[in-house]
Amino acid sequence: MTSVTRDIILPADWRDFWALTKPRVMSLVVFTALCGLLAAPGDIHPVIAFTAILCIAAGAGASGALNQYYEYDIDAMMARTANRPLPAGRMDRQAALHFGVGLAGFSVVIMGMAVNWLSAAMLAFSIFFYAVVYTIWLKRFTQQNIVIGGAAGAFPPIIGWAAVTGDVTLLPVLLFAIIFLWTPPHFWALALFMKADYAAAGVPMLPVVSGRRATRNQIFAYSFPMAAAAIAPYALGMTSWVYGTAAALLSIIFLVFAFAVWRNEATEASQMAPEKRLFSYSILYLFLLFAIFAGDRMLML
Amino acid sequence: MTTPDQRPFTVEETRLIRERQASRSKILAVLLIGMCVLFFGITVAKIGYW
Repeated sequence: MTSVTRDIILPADWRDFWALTKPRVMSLVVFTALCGLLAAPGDIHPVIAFTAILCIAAGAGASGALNQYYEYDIDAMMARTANRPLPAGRMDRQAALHFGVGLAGFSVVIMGMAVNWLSAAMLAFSIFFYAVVYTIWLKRFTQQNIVIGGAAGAFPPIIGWAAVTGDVTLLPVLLFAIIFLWTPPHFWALALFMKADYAAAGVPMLPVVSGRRATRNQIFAYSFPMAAAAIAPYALGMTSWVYGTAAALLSIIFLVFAFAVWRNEATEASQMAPEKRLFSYSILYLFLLFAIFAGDRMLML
Repeated sequence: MTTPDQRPFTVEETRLIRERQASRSKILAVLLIGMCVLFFGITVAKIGYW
């Protein structure tokens, strides 16, 4: 809603509904789900595959909308999120809630009816996990919020896999593990140079509660199991040497950048080049890792 | 407590509201057509015609 010359309430613009779905997060979700779907053994009709990806995208959008519905107060306190439709006053909260619930219901029901009910159940659980477990139960109350909450973002490749096969085996669980273990270093790198924002909003991110040194230690510590999970599909004979080599090289670079973060003692955001570099690289890392994984599996199958 | 403004909308206010409604209606129309195409595609794929 937007005030015009007095208390006139305009219907929210469609662009604001689009912004409510967190399109950039959704694009990474769609990409990892697509990689899971392409890597799975078996055939799937292209229309059903498209429907599965569409439902996963809609489910991610619903999660984003419900997250913004609940977090409108803390979004208003952070510069990074203050211009979102709800804190900026461009949309009624009730509209965001209806949109999120409607989109969630639509995505799960269509997924179940068109694809299979296992993938629909996992999609429903991932929406619940992000919107309720992470947003309501964890984010405001524990410094482990993004560690546990990271599971929500790790579901898409498993759902994509299950859309094709109708079951879940070790390989999609490894894909889940990669994203799950990648999430803490990724978000803590961001939290280090955005600490003031999180502190102002009262969000108990690790740097706010335990300090920068503990966060840098944790980032470096988490990078090792993440690298191990990334290399595991090759080590267990589920991919070719092409993926194995790429995963090893990409992970070594990640570890080098994480080491630079660990050594950094800066307290000002302007001096946190290693943290910003790790944050940017972590996105590229996940993108390349999954792209090479999907390509490798498609050539193997 | 403030009393609601009961004045009728001005021409400019009415135009703004109509523009926003029209914009949303067009998007909804596109989405509904998209859903029809999607459901048709799913149905044809499910019955194994393609």
